[in-house]
Amino acid sequence: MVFINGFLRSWMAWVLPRPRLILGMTLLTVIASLWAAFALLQIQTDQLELISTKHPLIALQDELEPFNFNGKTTFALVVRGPSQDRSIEFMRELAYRVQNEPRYFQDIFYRIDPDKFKKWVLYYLDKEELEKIKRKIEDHSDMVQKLAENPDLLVFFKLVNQEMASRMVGEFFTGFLDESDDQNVPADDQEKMDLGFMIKVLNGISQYLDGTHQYVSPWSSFFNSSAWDLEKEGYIWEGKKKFLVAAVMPKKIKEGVSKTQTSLSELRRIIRDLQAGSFSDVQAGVTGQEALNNDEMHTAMKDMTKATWLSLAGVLLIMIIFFRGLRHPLIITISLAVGLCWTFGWTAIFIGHLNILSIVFAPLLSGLGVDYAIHWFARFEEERDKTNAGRVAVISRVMSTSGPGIFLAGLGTAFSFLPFILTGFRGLMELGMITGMGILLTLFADFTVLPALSYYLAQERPVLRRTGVGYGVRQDLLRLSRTGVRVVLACALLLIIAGSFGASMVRFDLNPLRLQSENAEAVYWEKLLVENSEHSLLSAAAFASSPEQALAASRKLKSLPSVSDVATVFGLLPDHQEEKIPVLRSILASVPELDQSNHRLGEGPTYASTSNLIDPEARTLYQKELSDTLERISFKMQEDQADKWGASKPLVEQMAKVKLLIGKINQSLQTRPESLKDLQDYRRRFKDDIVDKWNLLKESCSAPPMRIEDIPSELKDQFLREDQYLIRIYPKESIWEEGALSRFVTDVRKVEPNAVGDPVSLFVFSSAFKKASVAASIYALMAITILLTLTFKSVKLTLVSLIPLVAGTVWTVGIMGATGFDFNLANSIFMPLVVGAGVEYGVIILHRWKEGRVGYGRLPFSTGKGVILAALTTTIGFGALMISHHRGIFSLGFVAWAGSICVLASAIFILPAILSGMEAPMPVIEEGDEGYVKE
Amino acid sequence: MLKSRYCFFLSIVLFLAFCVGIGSQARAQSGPTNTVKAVLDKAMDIQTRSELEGPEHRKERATQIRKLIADNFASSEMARESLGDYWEKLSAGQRQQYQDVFTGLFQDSYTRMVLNFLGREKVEYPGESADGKNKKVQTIIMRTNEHIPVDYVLEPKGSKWLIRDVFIDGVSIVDTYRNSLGSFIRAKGYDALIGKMKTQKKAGEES
Repeated sequence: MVFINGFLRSWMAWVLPRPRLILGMTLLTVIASLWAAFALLQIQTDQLELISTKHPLIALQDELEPFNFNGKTTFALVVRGPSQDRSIEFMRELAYRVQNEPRYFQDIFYRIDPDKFKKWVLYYLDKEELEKIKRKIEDHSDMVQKLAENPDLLVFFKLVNQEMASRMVGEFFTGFLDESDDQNVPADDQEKMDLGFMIKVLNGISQYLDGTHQYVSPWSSFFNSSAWDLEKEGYIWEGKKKFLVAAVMPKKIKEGVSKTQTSLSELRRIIRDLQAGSFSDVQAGVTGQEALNNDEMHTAMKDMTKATWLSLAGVLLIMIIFFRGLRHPLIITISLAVGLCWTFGWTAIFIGHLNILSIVFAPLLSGLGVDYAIHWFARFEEERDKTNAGRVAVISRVMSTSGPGIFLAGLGTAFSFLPFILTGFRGLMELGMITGMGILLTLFADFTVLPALSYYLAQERPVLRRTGVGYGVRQDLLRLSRTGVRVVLACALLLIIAGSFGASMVRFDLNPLRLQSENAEAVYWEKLLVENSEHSLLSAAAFASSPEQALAASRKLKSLPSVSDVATVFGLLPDHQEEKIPVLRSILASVPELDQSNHRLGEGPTYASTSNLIDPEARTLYQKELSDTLERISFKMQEDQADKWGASKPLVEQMAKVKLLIGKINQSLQTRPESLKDLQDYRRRFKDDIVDKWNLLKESCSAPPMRIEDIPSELKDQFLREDQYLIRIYPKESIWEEGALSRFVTDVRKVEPNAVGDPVSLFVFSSAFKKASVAASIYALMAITILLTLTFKSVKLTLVSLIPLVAGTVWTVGIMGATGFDFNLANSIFMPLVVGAGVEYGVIILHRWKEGRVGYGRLPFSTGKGVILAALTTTIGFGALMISHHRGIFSLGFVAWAGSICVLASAIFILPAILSGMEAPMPVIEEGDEGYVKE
Repeated sequence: MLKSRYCFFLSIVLFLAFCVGIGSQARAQSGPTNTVKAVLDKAMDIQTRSELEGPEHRKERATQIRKLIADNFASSEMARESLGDYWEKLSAGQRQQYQDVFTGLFQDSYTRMVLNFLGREKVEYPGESADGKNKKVQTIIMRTNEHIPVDYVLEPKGSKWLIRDVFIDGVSIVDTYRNSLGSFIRAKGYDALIGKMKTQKKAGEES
């Protein structure tokens, strides 16, 4: 302490004669710092790098990167439309626009080209489904045969009408033959009537006649399988086909919060444009880790800017109230602002970036760093009020009396952050370095800028107090009687017990999604996907160097209790291909060759389906025959009588729909001359579609089983690259719960010790962060204890100075339990923050007590005022964090805010009570005391 | 019981076909087309006459319609043709038994159909054509925005023309019987068929 005292005297002796030089130098360094911050400081969003750039997991994770779109950063685009068709339309339009914006996007992956799978499409159906297709073709063999001879729209309707009539006559007169004699046994398994296929075709014609020339293949309805509609195949669906997803690869541009921020904004602009246009019924959003990181940093940056200004304004306001004037608060604020600017400059030069943890340093420094100047001015006013001495004398007096205590408190706070470096957790190390160095720089400003400014601006004359207290009159903030001391100690003990009980309810919540702003778009869509997806969106991953190894590992992993599914490249192949071959070949045998010529005649000379598409007369004849056939079909749709005969409700509804569509089509054909051309357009598309489906059926039924090398590369590359097989492992339980994550990762690592992937990263990250937070608290406490022991040269005084910290911490965690706050990835660092504040108050009070003349159970007014004011400013600094929409930062603000209040209460009540039980030190008579009023 | 799913589609059409056949006043001197027209008019008259309207007169209407079917359809010929070649394998007793059961079943179906679906319909008669000694009368049932062709095959029987087959939108009732009954006999035998038909006929009589 003597050394510090001597050092400060020498320092002041140098500073006070040179205020202009000091202020000039300060101005230059502030400008340089701000320039460095704007030019060099970046924002880092990579969470894994928060652990360490040298963490072995990062190297393993790098191996995984090529399997995820060649290591490109991706946004997850999610679309939810009123129907799958609308979602697909939206996705196609959006993909088109993204592909036309090469400035912002590298690529978009939204569909696997179905043509590459076309050959094996039927292999992907179950054997039962294939049997159904076979039966369907056999049941409609006559229709299939005739359609093969002349694949025309009119032929199709004629065949449908004929089949309908045959079936109806048969059902009416001989249907009883299919009924069982036993009333309890259902009729023969005859296929129920379904008009869905015909409705699809009629709907397609109707839309064409309305001018909407968008052909939709009806064949999926015929076979009751979407596999037939290749237009709809190849898309990536989630949540029972409610969500259509795509991966958008952004260009990295050095603008905004991160390199992908501009692309993200552009993607969201495109979505909004589409929604404002013809897609108002479609919802869409962007999520995925990159978007989540961007949104998180964007929210955090915005909130931090607000919180910093709010914190500064709040601190200034409190000081104006306490100091009853603007001059001293202004000097304090300038000194603090200088410290902040230096810290920004130092961070830009020596670290180069801020991360999600270190981004909170500015408001923290505003709260913590301002304390020293407050203590300084509190003492300044006390010393000034005692005497008529000039500014320089008072400044020197303050420096010699309170200077060492303030200096020590500042060092103590800095030492509560600097030991973060020892945790090895990069995010915390950087936070520790930035905030610790920030405290030191602020302290340095308080011992240079503050006295220099005070030299010119500090209030020389005391402000007349309303209490009428004049010069040299002793004031106390707190006077405890012996009973009061006992009451304070008893209450403190009771609160510690209650706090311990509350603390037992506090858990550790790992879910990073719960830290982020609920309103953030990326969070909203991520949660929707998590809640609606069949399995977890996140998977662990392991590598194998051969098919045998991959299959063996896959089997072992599948058997783990915490694993729901395992995906490998082999899973991309259809199941049980060999078993399906005989069914496929028998379907092939029952499908006749298709006659694709345009001039084949049907039945009779008026069979207009043979007409070409150009001859107007032929077109008119075709239209007449079609109308005639449709009317005959319509006649059979007597839905008003259907329910009398027990027809099912869906069938009755279908009949009404058929009738309605036929009426609409025929009216259009009769009243709109241009509809003839539209009809021919549809007719051509319908024929092309039949040819496509026929070829698909033939090709797929005759194809050999699919092999690994047949899988399209864009899909295969996600599982197999350069003879390295990737195994994706999906958890059974939600990995956002700590227990489930731990079980899953532990299980997987037993089989695959080098497993990687998001769950593993999250587990490692959260475990490392938890450990680092605990370690940081312990290191901070140890560093402070060593510092205090060296300073006080007394274990007893050291322990006493730590009492506010210990009691305040227990109360704070108790409050967390009572208010339902858990420890999370953001607020786990509250402890070191409270350590700084707690030790500061203890040291200031203890240092004043050591000066002597304090008296039993008393807390001198100037000391108490300084501590309260410092605590209030700290509280505002932490409290400002509570304006954040980022719930992690909010929780940190709340916990640290509550912590600083608890530590303050503990310091101003418990410490005087405990010190009253200790032997009071002799008053220290120092040089310069002679000019002051003696008590 | 008839399967309910499709009966309603056909019932109206068959009813109209039936109407053409059951006119007891249709005489040979009127020609097949006039016979069909007279029967149709008569049938519609039974169903729409004011004193026979309503569910309480259903039995009375049924009795009259059933009688008209018996008078105007060549049921025994239809029965013979419905079995195709298998008819030749039956004994005289079996043939008589089959004709009785078939005729009853056929008449039940028609009666029920007429009762449920008959209305006042507009019918067009585009023409008739000869098929050996038989005549084929073409009709089209016309409704707003829909229609259906129904062709009737009639054969001369003394001074009358009797209906021996009806084509609903190109589908022959007799052919339908022949195909279905033939398949059943091949699968389960004649005895099973006659048993099944008897059961169905009994159910129709009780309903």
